[in-house]
Amino acid sequence: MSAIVQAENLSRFYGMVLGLNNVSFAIQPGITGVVGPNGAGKTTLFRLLLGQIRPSAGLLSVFGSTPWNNPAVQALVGYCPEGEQMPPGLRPLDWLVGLGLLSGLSTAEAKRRAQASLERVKLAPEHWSKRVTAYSKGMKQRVKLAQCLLHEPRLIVLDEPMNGLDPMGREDIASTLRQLAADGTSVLISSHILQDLEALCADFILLRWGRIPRSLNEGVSAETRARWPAATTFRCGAPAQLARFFFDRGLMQGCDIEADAGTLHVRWIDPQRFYAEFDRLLLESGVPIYEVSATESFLEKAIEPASSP
Amino acid sequence: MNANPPANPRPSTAPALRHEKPRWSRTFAGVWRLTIPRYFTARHALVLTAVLAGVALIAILFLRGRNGPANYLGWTANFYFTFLVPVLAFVTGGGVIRDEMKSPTLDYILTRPVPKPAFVAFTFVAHSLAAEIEFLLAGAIFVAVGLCYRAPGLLAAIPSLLVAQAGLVAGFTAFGFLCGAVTARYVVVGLVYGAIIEIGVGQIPTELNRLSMTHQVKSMLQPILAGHGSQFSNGIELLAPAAMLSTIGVLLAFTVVSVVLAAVVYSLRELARVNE
Repeated sequence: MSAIVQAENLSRFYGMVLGLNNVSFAIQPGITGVVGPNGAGKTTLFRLLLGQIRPSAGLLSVFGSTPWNNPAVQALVGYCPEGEQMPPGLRPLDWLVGLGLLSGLSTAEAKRRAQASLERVKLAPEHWSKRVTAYSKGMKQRVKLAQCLLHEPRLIVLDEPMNGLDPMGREDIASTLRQLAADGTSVLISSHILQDLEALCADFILLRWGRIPRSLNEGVSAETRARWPAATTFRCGAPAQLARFFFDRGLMQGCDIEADAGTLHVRWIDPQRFYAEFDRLLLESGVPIYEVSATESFLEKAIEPASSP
Repeated sequence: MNANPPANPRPSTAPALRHEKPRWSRTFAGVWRLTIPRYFTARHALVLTAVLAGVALIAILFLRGRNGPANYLGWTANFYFTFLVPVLAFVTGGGVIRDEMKSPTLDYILTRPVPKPAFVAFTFVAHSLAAEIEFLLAGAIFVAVGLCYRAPGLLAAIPSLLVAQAGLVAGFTAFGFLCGAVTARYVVVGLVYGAIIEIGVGQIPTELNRLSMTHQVKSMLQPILAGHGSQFSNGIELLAPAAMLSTIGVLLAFTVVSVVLAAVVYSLRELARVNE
């Protein structure tokens, strides 16, 4: 499988300020999440990929070419920015048709694709006659996504596309992105909503202070993610009884019980032992179980050192 | 529970890069569609109305002064066509290119396969056409107010004034593009240029004064001003009709050179850094 983006010893500095510092990575086709705290270098990475800035050092190739001022690369890339600034005086169809023309589409084709894109992101037609500057945050996110689908790019770069969306809206966007990936479009997405990224992405790039620390990225490797979670949360009828049951069988290293909420957080000695026969064990406990979930997400766990003092 | 990686079908190969020829007509149509609606916003209409009202007020104040109608043509040529028009064209041109260095242009247009020089050139054409129309409105107000006060020679001068205005709008809009592409302090650059070239060099009674675009235009308008004995006609040499064409050529060259340089500067700059 050939990488669509490759970076070798890539650095970007803004005078004395560090943007990216000597990072090497490859992005494979599919959905890849970019995770990191504010100032980690996500926007710098995106701007480099979009050809808006040049690397200070190192090599970067997108579809085998350098992206700086390269229309051939830009023809294959779509971008959905984080900012909410929209062009004044334009309605969504006018805006999308104009952008479609800039992407080389004919007027008729641009109109057809503009309508299709707006329908794809589920922006209701009754809102098409409003000016985009008058849109709510959620509607702006949808029309921003629509404009980046317009020219059917092979790589979509999404900077915080879930911001301002309700859970249903987020699921709409997520299902659109899954469908795009299934159709062969690669997606590079950043979001502070880690659960969404975990559910969506096959690969991750974890950034911290302009670097891609190996230890952090090992924590989100496919191999690590294939392991069972080290801690599990149960919402159940009798958390204390369930804790005793696990303890008696030598499965549990420790636990926290929230009796009022009916919640039990369990840390396993060996998660594999529980998950190998969890259905039988839970039935055997005789405790009514309402919900089972991983206590902490692997992304939260992986970036934990970054947020700790 | 996310114990396993999400099912995410992956294509096995990355697509090959295609170097397609730019389709200039579509690019221009796109720039036109995205530029022109800006002139139809409520805010823009309000600003335009205020400017036009200001223009009318200035004209009326002059005409009510001593010998106002008699000197109106000369004053119009000197104040409006060779001062106000260049200043406004320069400021709006600089403002347009500065806006094109920010979001949403940066995020939505420059991430598309549009060569930056072509984008600058097409934006200039679209903006200049819109600006020419707006300046026509302002010019019409000057003429209408003058006609109301029976200013002599105005009707006969209209064709020459229109040519002068069209050339100045294009030239100084382009120069505004160039200065705006170079620096955010383009107004300061414009003031320095105006003081040194347009006012300073333009007053030197040698061939050097042809570097001043407004001097070129004043020279072009001189025959109509001289015919009406205007107090503003002193000290400017007369030009033959052939020389008028050369003035238009010089303005055109000034426009083209400014736009080309603006496009080069715009292409070479890392525009994403402008907003940081």
